[in-house]
Order: sequence, then C-alpha cells, then structure tokens
Amino acid sequence: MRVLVAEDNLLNLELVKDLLEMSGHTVEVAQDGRTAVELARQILPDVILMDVQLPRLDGLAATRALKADPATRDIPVIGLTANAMPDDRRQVLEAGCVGYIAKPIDTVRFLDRVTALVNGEREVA
Amino acid sequence: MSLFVLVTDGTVRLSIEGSSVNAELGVAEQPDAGRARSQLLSAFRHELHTPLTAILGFSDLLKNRSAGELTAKQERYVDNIRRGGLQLLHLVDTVLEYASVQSDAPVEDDGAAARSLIEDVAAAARAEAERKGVTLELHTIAISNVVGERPRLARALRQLLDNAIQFTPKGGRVTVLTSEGEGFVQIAVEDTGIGIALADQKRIFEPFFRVDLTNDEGEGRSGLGLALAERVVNRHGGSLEVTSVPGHGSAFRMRLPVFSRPAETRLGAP
Repeated sequence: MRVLVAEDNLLNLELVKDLLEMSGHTVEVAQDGRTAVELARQILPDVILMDVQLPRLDGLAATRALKADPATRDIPVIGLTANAMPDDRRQVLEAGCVGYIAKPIDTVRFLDRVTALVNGEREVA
Repeated sequence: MSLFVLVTDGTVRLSIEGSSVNAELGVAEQPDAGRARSQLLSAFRHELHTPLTAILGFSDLLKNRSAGELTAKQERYVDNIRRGGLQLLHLVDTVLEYASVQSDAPVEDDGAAARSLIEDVAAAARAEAERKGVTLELHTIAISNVVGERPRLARALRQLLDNAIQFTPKGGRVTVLTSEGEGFVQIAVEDTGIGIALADQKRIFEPFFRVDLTNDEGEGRSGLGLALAERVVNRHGGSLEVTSVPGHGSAFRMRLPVFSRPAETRLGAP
C-alpha cells in the first residue's frame, strides 16, 4: 500500500514509517495538516494516518477538508491520537476517520489494525 | 513543540506552541473553569503520551529483533527501558485521572447498576487472583442502583480488588460482599492478607503514601490508587473506610448513595 503519514513529532513519525516500511508499504510523510491535504490530493494514497494534533491545520480539520473534496473523499483516514478519551474518539470519528489508533502505539497489533480499517472495518463511537 | 506556563496574580495560563490548546485556570472558580481544566489535562495527556510513544515503540522494535539480534544483556536493558516506560505511562494516566476527578464538578450519572458493576470488575480481576493462587468469592445480594459514573466507580472498586489480591498470600481468600442500609449500598472487599498496621490505616488514602514493604510488592505502583478511589467515592457523596488486623486481613467498605429516582426496573440484577 501507499501510505501517507501526517505526524509532526519526528520520533513518532520515524516509528510509524519504520513499522509500515518493514512490511513492504511505501510511506510518504507530512509534518503539518495543510501539507497533508495538499500531498493527499497529489498522490492519492491508499490510506492516510493522521495525527489529531498537527500544526497549521489540525488533523481533524485536515480530515474534514479531505472528506469534502470528491477527489480525496474515498481515501480512508485513520486518526492517531495520544489522547484516546471517549470525547476525543468521538471527535475523530465525527471528522470522518474510519477509526483511530491510540498512542502509545501497540506495535504488535498496529499493522493488523491498519489493514482491517483499510479493508472496511469500522469503529463505533 | 514548547509548553509555556505563566503564573500571574491568581491566574495560571498555559499554552502549547504548535497546538490549538490555550487554557486558563483562575484560582477563583469561573463558570467555565471546569472546561478549561479539562482542556488543560487533555493537553497534558497528549504532551506526555507523545514521547512515551517513542520510548515504548522503539524498545518494542528492538525487543522484536526488528533492528537485528541482541545479546542477553542488551535484551535485559531493552526490557528495563520498556518496563520503566510502562510504569511511567501508568503513573501519567493515574495522576491525570486523579487531577480530573474534581469533587466540585457534578457527577455525570450513568445510573450505574451496582451489582453488574461488581460482577464485571470481579471478572476482570479473576485472572490475576488465579495467577496468584488466591480465591476470589462474590457474595452479592440484589442491591439498589447507585448514582454514578460507571467507569470511575469500576476503577475504584478494581483498585480495592487489586490491592486485596496483591497483599493476600497464595491460598488466601478475597471476598466481595454487598449490603444495603437506609439510602446507601455498601460494597465490602475483605481479604485474608497481610493486613495494615494501625498507624498506616489512617494514611493509606494519602497520595503517594507507601506502606513499608520488605519485598518488591510496591514496584510499578503509582501510590495514588487508594487516594484516587477515595476521591471518586467522595465525589459520589459516599465514603470509603478500612479496618484491618495485621497478619489476619483487611476490609475496605465503600458506601454509595442509592439512586433515588423512582425506577423499579433499574433495581437489582439485570
């Protein structure tokens, strides 16, 4: 798969990128929400991993922008959140994400979770 | 990302550069102080979980040999980093939960069915009891529902059960008993464990108070579990008390007000 990862923390960006690349996926990165939206329109990735708190345009606003655009509307967006409390989870799903992955990331389950969400599994609020 | 905390005459101002959070906390309670406080705690959680993601994630990768083979010593060090990271994660979450349980904020009522709550919590604790060779028994009668926030009450009860299991030697017994008085229900957790010295009984609900332990029983504990449990119970208008005989066991009694809205269907077991 071609995966776009939007994450502003460089350590966590490297972690997610390595996890995906180790399984043979291609990774493109963006470090802010606006770049993520622009890049998504250009490369039309198979899935987007979107950190919720991003500079310039936060991850929820970026997701809403992608969902409002017919060109990117169908790309599944998975929220990455370091604050997986019920309210935050609901916000992530309301913005249009198909699901979320909580930080700290469970590295053993990470890839299965991404694959399941890409293949149509849906989170319930 | 930088975190700024500014303290000026009676006002704490916090802002995190690069994120949308900008919370203010007045010392004099403002109408929206609860919301600002909750935003602040949410920002803390995010800021603290972010570096923990790197610590735990990369130590996982090393441990799984994603970066090549490890010597026995290297594996041990990686395990230690990971355990330390997990302890820190537990501590961060407990401290933030402790800070967020404000006794002055209104209790959000989920209409907690006391009996199913006890059964769920006991079921979750059972594996640890079995691992330790401690018998876990429930003697629960049908009791009224309580007014309450189910996740927090469950966490408080779980803390009592975890403590009881941890401080009861193999072959011992932990019992959960319910009873009901006028306007309140009581949930008691009794154990046949090592007990608590009289001088310590008054102090165990203090944050970060630790009973002197000769072994490593205290490892990985936040020192906030009972303080948090008491805060949660008090917030619900209830009380949490302990009696104990050193060498014979302890009993923690949690009393919670009965849910008083007339709704017979909510009473007792489902």
